[in-house]
Amino acid sequence: MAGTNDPVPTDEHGVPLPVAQAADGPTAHAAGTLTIPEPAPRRRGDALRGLFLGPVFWRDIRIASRTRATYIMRGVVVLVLFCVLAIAYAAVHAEADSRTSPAQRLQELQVIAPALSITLMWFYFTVFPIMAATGLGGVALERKRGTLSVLAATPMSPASIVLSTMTARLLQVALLFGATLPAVIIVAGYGGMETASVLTGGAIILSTIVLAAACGSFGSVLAKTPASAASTGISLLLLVNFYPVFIMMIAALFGAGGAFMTGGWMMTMFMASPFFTLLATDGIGAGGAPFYTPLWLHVAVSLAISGGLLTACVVRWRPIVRGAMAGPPPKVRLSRKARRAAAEAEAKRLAAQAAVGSPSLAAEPEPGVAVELPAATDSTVRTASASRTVGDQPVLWRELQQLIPWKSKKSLVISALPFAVLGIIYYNTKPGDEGVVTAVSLFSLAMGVLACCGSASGSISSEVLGRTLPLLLTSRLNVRQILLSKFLGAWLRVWPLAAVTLTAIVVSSLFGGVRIIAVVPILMIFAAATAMMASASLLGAVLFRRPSMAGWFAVLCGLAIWAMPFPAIGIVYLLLMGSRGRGPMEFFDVFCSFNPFYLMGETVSQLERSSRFSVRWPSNAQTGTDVWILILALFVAAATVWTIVALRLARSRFETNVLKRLV
Amino acid sequence: MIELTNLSKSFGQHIALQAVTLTIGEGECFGFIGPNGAGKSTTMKILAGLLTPTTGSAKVCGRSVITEPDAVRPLIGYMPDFLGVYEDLTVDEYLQFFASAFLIPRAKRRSTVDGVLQLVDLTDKRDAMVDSLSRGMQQRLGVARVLLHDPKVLLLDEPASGLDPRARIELRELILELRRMGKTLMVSSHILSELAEMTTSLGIIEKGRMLFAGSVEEAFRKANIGDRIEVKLELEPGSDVRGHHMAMAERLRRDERIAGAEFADGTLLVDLAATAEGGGHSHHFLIAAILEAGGRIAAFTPRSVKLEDAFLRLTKGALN
Ligand SMILES: Nc1ncnc2c1ncn2[C@@H]1O[C@H](COP(=O)(O)OP(=O)(O)OP(=O)(O)O)[C@@H](O)[C@H]1O
Ligand SMILES: [Mg+2]
Repeated sequence: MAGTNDPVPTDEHGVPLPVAQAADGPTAHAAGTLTIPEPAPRRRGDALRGLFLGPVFWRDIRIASRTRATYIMRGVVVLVLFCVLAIAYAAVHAEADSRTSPAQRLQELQVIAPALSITLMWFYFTVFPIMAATGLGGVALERKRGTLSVLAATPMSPASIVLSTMTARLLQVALLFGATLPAVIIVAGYGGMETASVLTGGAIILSTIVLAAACGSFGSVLAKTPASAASTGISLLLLVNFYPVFIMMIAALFGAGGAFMTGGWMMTMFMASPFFTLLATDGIGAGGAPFYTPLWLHVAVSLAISGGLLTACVVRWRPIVRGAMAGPPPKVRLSRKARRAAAEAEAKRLAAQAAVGSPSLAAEPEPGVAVELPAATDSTVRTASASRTVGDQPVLWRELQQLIPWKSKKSLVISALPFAVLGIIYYNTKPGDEGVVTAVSLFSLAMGVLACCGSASGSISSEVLGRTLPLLLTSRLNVRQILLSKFLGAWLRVWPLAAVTLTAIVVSSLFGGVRIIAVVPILMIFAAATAMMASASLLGAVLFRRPSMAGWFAVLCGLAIWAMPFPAIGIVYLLLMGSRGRGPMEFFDVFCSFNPFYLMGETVSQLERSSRFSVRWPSNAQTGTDVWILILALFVAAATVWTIVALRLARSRFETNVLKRLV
Repeated sequence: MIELTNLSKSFGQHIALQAVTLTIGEGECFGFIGPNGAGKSTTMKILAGLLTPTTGSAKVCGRSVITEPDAVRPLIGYMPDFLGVYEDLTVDEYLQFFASAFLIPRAKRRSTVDGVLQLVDLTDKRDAMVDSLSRGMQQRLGVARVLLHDPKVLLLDEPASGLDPRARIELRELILELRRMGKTLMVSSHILSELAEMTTSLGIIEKGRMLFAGSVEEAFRKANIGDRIEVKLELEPGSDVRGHHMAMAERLRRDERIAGAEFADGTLLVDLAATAEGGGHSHHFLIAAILEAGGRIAAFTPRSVKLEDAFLRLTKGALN
């Protein structure tokens, strides 16, 4: 009888575990006696197989094949892919809409094939690495499940655990690729791409997927919670891709000039970034690429980084597991007053000791004699200096507790950081520059949306994993209250980011940049977008078990909501193309701007007092103020409707989906 | 207080509970016994409103768990077989959190939390982080949590699991204390001797079927269990120990007051049948019978009857 959650499946797959062989081995079944089986003779390749296709690999594969979410996910990805392709198709059509003669049509077809191939390539480049970097479980998840100790007690090597987890994830990505094959065939039917480009793109994407899986493994081994494992992996992946931009930004902040930016070493730096390498070779960006790296060098660098990250995982595995088993380090939250009191007590104790006992004994305790018994007993139990008072909405209270920055030094520093960066920026720019407002508001929107993506789903799944949800459900809180509290908690937690934006706007308006009224629409957009994401994430957590799945669901929901109008518009446009000239094109543009990031930039452009400064949002020429207000209103309305619908859906699916998981 | 009528629950093809009917009166302490996977936790989850039964009804204080969950929740304290902890809260905050979740007014929360902490003897751990408590302390914290809203009915799913012997005794005292407070308890366990000392009635469940429900005495009577006596015969050195004992067992089995006799580990194990009234036979007749058969008694050790034996007897027949 194999338990479904058996951490070490030991059967027909020739898993090289002694226990597994005991079941199959010919010598095992002498009646009533226990015979230790002979270890099977080692064959060539066994070591490698154990490393990459170890027991953990088979476990993960089976779990994935058994969960419905895996299949839903594949379906959703395929759906999104087709949406994206439809958009690309419509966009190319839109560009070529004035050509109507057969010759021009032919020309158009020639444009469409590469456009579709490149869309497909970039789609793979975005989705697959992120897939590979998330959902790796890792130490945090094993610990939450309670399987970490079991896993750590097996003779499996850390390398086998880390690498097998990774191969299992890579296989999932490969299966996902299989699911999208029809799209590949369609694109090939349109003429496809040159073989050389396909090979180049494929090599870059493949090495990036491996790199991403390594980043994910790194996050999953180092992170303390499953949710932070995924976000660590993603952050690392983003860093590897966009570090040149960060370096340039920092350099620009400190006033570096163009010579520095286009200097030789700056260019060589790009070589490790998969994003810029693909951009330089994809056929579109190639013309304007600032550098050229030999493909083999890039792939080698990617693989070397992956190797380094994986080695770090393997080396750190045992110490980290040991740390995790010992529980979190004694984290004593002491107020300054309590610390002073403790210090005084300690001083008093020492003084008393010096007065009473002989000084030599106090200075040199005899070996083996426990001198500080009270301290020893205290250290086994982590204590806080004082318990806080819980509010009337307990679930919300707990969510918001994690927000208050002055509780710990670390979070205080983190929350002060954005303001410090803002200060540096102002030091180097003109204080009224609305470009700063654009950048800051876009940045905090992006961070807010990302944070909402993870936190709502993370908090639900940690209630499930920590087994506290049944306790909540048997209390007098009902499901609606619990979900609403979780939603509000996740949503309100990102508002400090809005405070940064607010500061930027106020400063800018004081120095004659953006009009102060911009606060209203910008906060509206921020609120609407983050609420939408938080509710999508909550719905994801109700529908899916894994925190990373839930986060993904939220991302895809967001993309789908923003992309949803496109296919429809594309179809309408195609129908109307010949007869109405550029009319539908305007419509198309309007709908392209139907997303919070665009709206944010547009809002700043609309509400600046003058255009004295060079940094400008690429405002759509055709979008007048009336259209902008219309889109803004539409977006806020759509986000509100979505939030309400998602929360209701989460509520109604809760019983069937989450309760089933609990019991 | 608790009424289950024809309660059934199936998970897909698998039937976890099969037409369970059970009544537990006010102030009773009902011990729920059964092997792993028998359906104990499933029953408790249904009563706690976490699962909906496939058929049948479950009532607490005359209110249906299924149709009026909101009315039943304040009446029930459910302690699952695992303790859910929030690792970022202290003991005090944890209890306040649930006090608030049970809609205890803010003014009364402080005293309520103090009260239950005192009851489970965790007052000095008030500011400790919940996940740093030992298993036994966490278990006590679980009991404290369940008592916060002063429920009439307590459902404790394996409260003693993971506790050391001393903690078990403390838990038993605590449960006896709760009984004195007039609470109705349903306690599941695998360890019968423990239950025997604190329960007033007993339910035995296996493979989703209620095999027995009633008072502890009734369980013994129904199992038809008398005493078990270990007898050692004194024999000449070098004689056939096994043969002599086996022969004696053979003779004793003919007596209708003796339910069974067998030889194991060098001693003769004799099970006395229960009398018609449910009491036991006096042991003297056995001594007489052995002497009469020509045996010399080297040792005669009556063993007290165990609930375990009753349990085995009751469940053995049902398996087939
Ligand atoms: N969510 C579920 N899905 C499918 N089957 C389940 C589920 N929960 C319980 N079961 C099955 O129902 C039966 C009863 O389980 P239950 O947990 O009530 O047993 P139990 O008596 O509490 O056992 P234990 O002593 O091990 O705690 C078992 O056979 C179990 O496999
Ligand atoms: Mg159970």
